[in-house]
Amino acid sequence: MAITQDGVELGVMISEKAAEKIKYFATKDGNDSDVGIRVAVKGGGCSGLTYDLTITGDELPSDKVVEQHGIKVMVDKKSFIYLVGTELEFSDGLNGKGFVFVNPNAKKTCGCGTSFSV
Amino acid sequence: MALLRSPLYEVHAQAGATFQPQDGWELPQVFSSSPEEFRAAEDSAAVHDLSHTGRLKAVGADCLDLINRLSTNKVDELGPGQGAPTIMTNDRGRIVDLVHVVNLGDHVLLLTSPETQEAVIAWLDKYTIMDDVEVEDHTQASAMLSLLGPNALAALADVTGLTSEDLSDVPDYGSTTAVIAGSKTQIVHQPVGGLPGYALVTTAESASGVWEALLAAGVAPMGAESYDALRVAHAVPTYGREMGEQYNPLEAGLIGSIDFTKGCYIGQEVIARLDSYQKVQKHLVTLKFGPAAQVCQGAEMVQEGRVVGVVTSLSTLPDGDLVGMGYVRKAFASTGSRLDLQAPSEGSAEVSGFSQIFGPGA
Repeated sequence: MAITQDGVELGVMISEKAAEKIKYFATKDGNDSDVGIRVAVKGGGCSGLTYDLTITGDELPSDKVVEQHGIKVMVDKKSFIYLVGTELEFSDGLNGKGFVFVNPNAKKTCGCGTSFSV
Repeated sequence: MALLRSPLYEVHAQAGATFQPQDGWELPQVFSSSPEEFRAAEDSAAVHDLSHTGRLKAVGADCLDLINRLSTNKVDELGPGQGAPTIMTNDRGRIVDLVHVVNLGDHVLLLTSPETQEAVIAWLDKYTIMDDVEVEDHTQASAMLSLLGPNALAALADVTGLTSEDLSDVPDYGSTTAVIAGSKTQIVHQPVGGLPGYALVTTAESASGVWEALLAAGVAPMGAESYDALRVAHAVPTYGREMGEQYNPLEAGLIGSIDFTKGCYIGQEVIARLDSYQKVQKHLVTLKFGPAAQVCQGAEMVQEGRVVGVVTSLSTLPDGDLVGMGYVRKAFASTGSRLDLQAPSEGSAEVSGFSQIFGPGA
């Protein structure tokens, strides 16, 4: 189900498991429990664009912000263009990949899954 | 389109230089004679006007980090005064350009190939999303001279007043600032192949003073013809002939400018795979031709009727020997390998060595 805010589909959705892991990382170093996660896109990675996750409480005026599973997710408006409809999941276990992005905008993804091109 | 002219055009014209169009610029071809100019660079010191090559000024906190994510060498930890050659590659691991990056403290200087500065700016712009980076083209507002030869350092000490020790302390591809003929000049340590060399970057207005000071210190003026012969003799690839989007850096002998442990950059996966599985299909080699050979630019090299290589650059050495560079398929790319030239060229080419320059991995 698409999560919407003000009638607009949210840029990034996070799974319940990913949210649990974000909470774990956000609070394990003694941060306040109200910190959230910034999801951004940077130039680089094997395919041209790469995902960037940062735990932060700092919100920018132009951010798209939404709470999901008790986590505040912030996406700057430039990254938003590349991330519309993206789902952030968490793959654990011995062969798990950690945080995994399922991005419908990505035409090509590199082997390790952290880089893509559109 | 009208040809561009270096800020030193009038100075070169008054010195009797002949001119030729190249890379969209009207460049001085010969000052005295190409063999004399070549020998001056090999045995003493010579200066060549490289104002037609691209110079970009990048400002912002994320410059080096962004370039590090978009190119093959590790540049994100370059301190002020340090520099490195790095190759911007596309997601197929092909060459966008070989760029010399220099951290000048308050900004980053990018030295590109001739005519590629707009492509490099566009490439950086395309991948600048939230980064604090602004890039400006300073090519026509500035001038750049290449001072080459075993006596380059002594000549530089002479015109700058710096000691040889000061200049020797400038790391490879690094930079220092000096005053030449009353003008602030950025001295960038930039060897050409095995030949000691410095790129001197100054304003367009100051260029003639710097040029005249070097000539007064006994440095020979050098035209584009002898500079190109020197480049070929020292196996230095140039954009448009040996570098471009049809080649990857491993084929072009640029492994010294690739950091295999720094992490991801655009094209990294392809380049790492080519290296790990030894999938490089062809190599850039130096070539020599027999006295009877008639060689055209772009001549194909054949073995048992099959095309196995192509000549990309040709030059004549002072003793009259014809030499070149070219790409040859891996199976035939070994020193001493002799390959026939496809008609209309005549004779044969012999592989004399490999292009393996730029950086400590060379």
